[in-house]
Amino acid sequence: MMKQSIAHIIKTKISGAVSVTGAGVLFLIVFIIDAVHKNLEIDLGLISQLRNVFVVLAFIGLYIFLQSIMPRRSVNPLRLFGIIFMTLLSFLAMSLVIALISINGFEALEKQLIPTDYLTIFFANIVSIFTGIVAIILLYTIAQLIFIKQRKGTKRNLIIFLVILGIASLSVWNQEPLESTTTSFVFFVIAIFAGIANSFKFTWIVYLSKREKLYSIGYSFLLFVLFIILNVTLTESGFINRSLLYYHYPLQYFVRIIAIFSVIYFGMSFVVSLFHLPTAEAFDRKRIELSSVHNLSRLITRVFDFKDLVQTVTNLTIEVTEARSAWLEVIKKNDAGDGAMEFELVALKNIEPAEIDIITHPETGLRRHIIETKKVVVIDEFVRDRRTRDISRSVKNIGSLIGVPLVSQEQMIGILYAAKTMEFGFDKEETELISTFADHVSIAIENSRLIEQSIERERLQQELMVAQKVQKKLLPQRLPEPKGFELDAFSAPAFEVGGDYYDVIELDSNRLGVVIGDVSGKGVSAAFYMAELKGIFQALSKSCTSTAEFLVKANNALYGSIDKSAFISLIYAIVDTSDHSMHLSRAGHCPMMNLHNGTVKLHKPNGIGLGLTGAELFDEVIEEEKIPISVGDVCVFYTDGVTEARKSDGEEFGTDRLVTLVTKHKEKSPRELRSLILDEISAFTGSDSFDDDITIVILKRNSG
Amino acid sequence: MSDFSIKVRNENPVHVLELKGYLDAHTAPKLEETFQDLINKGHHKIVVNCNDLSYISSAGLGVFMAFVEDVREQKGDIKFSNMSQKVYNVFDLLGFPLLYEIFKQEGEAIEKFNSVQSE
Repeated sequence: MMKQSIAHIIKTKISGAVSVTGAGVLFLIVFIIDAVHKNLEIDLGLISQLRNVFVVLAFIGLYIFLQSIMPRRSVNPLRLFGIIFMTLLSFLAMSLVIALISINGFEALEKQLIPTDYLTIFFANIVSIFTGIVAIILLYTIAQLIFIKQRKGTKRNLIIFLVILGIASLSVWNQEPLESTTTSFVFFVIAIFAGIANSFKFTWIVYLSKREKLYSIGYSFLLFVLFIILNVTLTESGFINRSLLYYHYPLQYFVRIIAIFSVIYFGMSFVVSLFHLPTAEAFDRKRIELSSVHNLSRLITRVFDFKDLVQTVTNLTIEVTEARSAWLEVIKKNDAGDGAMEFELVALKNIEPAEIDIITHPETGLRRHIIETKKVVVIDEFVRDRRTRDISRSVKNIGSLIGVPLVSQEQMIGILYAAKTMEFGFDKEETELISTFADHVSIAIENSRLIEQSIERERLQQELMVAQKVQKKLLPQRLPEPKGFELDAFSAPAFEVGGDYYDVIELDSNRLGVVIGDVSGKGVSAAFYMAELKGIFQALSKSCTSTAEFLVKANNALYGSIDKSAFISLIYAIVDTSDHSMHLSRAGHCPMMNLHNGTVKLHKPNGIGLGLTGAELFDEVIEEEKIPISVGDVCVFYTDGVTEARKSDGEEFGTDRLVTLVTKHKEKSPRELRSLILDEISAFTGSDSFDDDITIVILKRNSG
Repeated sequence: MSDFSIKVRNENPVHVLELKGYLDAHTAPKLEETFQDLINKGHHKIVVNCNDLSYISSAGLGVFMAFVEDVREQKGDIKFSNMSQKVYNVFDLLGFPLLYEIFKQEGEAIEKFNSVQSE
């Protein structure tokens, strides 16, 4: 794409260079012919015809060259005015120089113009070429002005004008310089009318700002006057006109038509600019409105920075309404319940926060009127209006005030204010404008908040994933394999992290500690206590000879140090592989389910949950049970997530189902039994996920 | 989620909380609010009527633990009554009957408060 356009530019430049060289050569040939013609006073016939063709070709070459150097599709009319102005000035400067040099000029002889000397021929050539260039530049530039706002027919009208211009010019091809025919005059008049038809294309003026329109008026008037002067310099007997007639009659026609067309065009342009001046302000405002809406739509894509967004909104409000000051407050959190709204000032411009506090005061200020009506509130006379009369004493420099509620999804999310020094500063149009603006702002703010929220949510989610990984590491990575026993364990939190804990530890060569616990509550807080519990277990279990002793010590460590509302239920068993027995103590936890010689028994020694009460009561209540374990016995430790797993209708899985299951599958290995239990729970609840943390530890004596 | 509601009844000087539905981690804050409100108003003699309470989780039990110390310091108490077997089992498992007085009927609990007061 880029390469192509560069290639195109180079191509244009080359063709421009070739054309200008060709034109130069042709002009030189014409000059030589003219010089020779002066010496040989004979009819040149065919050569004369060729000479005229050369002139036309040379100007076409010049046109191609000009096109290659002139600005293309310049959208700024004032720049085009500048080009026309400079071109005209240089022409007038040339006329002045010609007037100052004494040139003998031409002799009129039977409708012919005879140059008196070589100098006259030379200057006639120069003047004609220069005037021709000026005419081409003018035509080209005016055409660009016309094309700034192209409409249907614009191009067609211009082409008609150019064609008639060509025909009119060519109609004098074979005429003597001082000869004039009715036919050519008629073409001349038609060309002028075609020019007038193109002098109504002033749509470009409409889109100028007020300042630019003032420039346009000045420029148009100046050009109008200068073109009248130009037409005067082209009068019949003047040297320039005679030079043109002598040099090339069609060129003279061409130049005259364009000169008259230009007078008409810039005269019209002056008048139209003048007429558009009164509406310039309204147009300017519409334009600002449009550009502010445009800015806003860009804003919406920039909503990642809330601070940036609200400040830009405040600045734009001032721009749109031409207010002196503006500020924006948003509702921090809309507690749906009590309806109390807390406002936060997030951006301001040209006003003190103290003044805003007075104006928006919840009781005496303007805010409550906006909240009550949920509509735009306009204060035309700040000092006299009953709503602001009292606060106006403390706030200076405000004449009128507007407050617009920002509403998103039928919920008020904030208020946008603007204030002007003058009274009646916010008319109907402006109020409507600022309301439309507020709608856009609401969307932008809401989007910004949603993005912020989702980023925050994403961050929290990441943190939780990390916590989950860490917590998984807190549970045993591998279970011990005590001789004659088989073990299996499973634990899954209801959320990312949970409060269930289990551990199996080899206390010495023939004693195995099995612990399972459940922290009250769920989620993050439970997870922290679960981690603490793991620390306590790892630290105390090896130094305790009995299960009750461990629970007493654990309660001492926890009671008073954890939150009052938090507690931990725990069951601790020490399995002796030498005498095949189990010591069991329980602190508020679910019973241990023991399948002994084919029947299930729930063991529930007394004990209060950890962290619920001090040593006095806890130590008194705690019990320790000794249970024999025969070959084929199964011990199932679990948390209440198992028995309290609920169906959608509220029915719980319950202990009985678990008992039945264990009894039925007593031959199965702990691993098989565990997966059977989980499958049964899933089938019961009709869901693969659990509502509560769920943990199962199964121990089975296989042999010896 | 599950429905849970609290009705507060003034049986001067005792306040009775009638709990209904599922008291779990989601609904516990509601109970917490009610307790805080009663305590702020200086009511420390509280009977929790569990007649219509269908489920209580550890988070629900935690609410009582959070406030019991405060009310006992103020010579008040939290007592329970009209517990279903299922709810009682949860209390019992954790050893709550050792920490709280649980009555069959609400009247007995109120009576207990009044008899202590008259002593």
